[in-house]
Amino acid sequence: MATVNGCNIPEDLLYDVDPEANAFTWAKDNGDGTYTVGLTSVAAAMAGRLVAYTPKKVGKVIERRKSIATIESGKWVGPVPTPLTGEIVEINEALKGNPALANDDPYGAGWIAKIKPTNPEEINSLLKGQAAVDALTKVINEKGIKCG
Amino acid sequence: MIDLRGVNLPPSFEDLELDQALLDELYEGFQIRLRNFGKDILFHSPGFKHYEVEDFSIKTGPKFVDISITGRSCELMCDHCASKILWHMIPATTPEELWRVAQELKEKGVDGLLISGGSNKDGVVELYPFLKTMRRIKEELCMFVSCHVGLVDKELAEGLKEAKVDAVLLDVIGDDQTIAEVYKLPHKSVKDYEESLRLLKEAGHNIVPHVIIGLHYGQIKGEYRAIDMIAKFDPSALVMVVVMPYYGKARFQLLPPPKPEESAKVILHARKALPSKPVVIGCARPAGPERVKFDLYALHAGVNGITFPAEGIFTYAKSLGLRPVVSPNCCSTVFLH
Repeated sequence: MATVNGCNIPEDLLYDVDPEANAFTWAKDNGDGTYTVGLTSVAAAMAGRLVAYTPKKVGKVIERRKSIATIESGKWVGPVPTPLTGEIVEINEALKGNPALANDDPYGAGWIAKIKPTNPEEINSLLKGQAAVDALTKVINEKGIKCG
Repeated sequence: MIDLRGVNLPPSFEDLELDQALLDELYEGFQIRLRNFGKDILFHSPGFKHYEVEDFSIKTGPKFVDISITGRSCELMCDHCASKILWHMIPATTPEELWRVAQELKEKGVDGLLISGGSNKDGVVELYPFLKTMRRIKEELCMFVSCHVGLVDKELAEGLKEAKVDAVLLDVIGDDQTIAEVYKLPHKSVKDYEESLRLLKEAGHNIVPHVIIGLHYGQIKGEYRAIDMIAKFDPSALVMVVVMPYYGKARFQLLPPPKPEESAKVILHARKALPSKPVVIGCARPAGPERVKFDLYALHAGVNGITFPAEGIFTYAKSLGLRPVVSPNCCSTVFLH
């Protein structure tokens, strides 16, 4: 696991990083045709401590980089752009009751949604390993982000 | 004339459990707004917060921001806020710093400031040392300046007028127990808030009082009295907000805010008490799905504007036949529209 300015970046996940699209998300292959997606520690730090999580409905198909959920902190309200086009198969009920889980455990209990990708080719466009660490490090340095 | 009775909700709201009898009741408020204000409805998105939902966002840089003359510090530490409302404001704790910050903001394209801060133990935001600087900001930088004050005396009310501030905002509380317990001001009462309104009005201000729904630990208590009191002082506008439990101390965090249905009745009362003055929904209210319901009821109750509208509300307003006007300013500027 890489750590930059206190921001953890697990190297075994896939990442969608594009500041122009406000995309700072991760995806993980669950091995059953679904992917879990979530906010990176960088996105969570940029948003601030979350006070609300409003996911789209299960069953809805969301295009890549369209909003899979709306999150809200004291200073930021905005969409979580899904890294992959797909159908939402599960939302995180625990996050509804405790949105700050996305800050405290962004790669674990604070996941945003589980989706079933409908355009598997998009998976190849996600970053992994050192490329992901480099892209997020650039964002961290340019925006002066500190986690924790 | 738009008739809301029997209106069809869009698919995005199909899961909302709405009180149809209440919607019928709120129609009286909607008729008042149409009669006295026409179809324009303001949607505000001031620059202290990034706000982006599917059908509403402002992409330009901030035009209106908040400044705290006490930084994050507040001597009162009321139960509902515990100074957190100050945390996102730009600190400027001396007159010199206020001037420098205002100049920098002006250069960045900001043209409106809300100046506020934490209260002292008498419920007063000590703005006295900043009055000359505020006047300078008005005269030399030509910015819109509103002040969110606490209780005021004659000196402060008149000083703010000499400072040429455009509007004075004040949270008005209509219950002595709430003032004592939530605001930690057992030596103050509703009469002190009434006196502040009177002094501000006598000094010739545009007053934009705020009423916080659910201020008494999530219960509706002094809200109706506060609205009736405000109505006597010919406000330029009235801002309605709702307590946000996650801002408050433990007791607030454990208790739910009022149900949107309860809050909607307070909004309707405000609409009826101030039929020809703008009534707007301010930026503070609980997040998440309950906000959608609250905003929808508020639209039906005939408010003139909503700050940071919940997802779908902007589109829904258009479907009701209203004409949205998007503003990057603080909702306290609504009386200028």
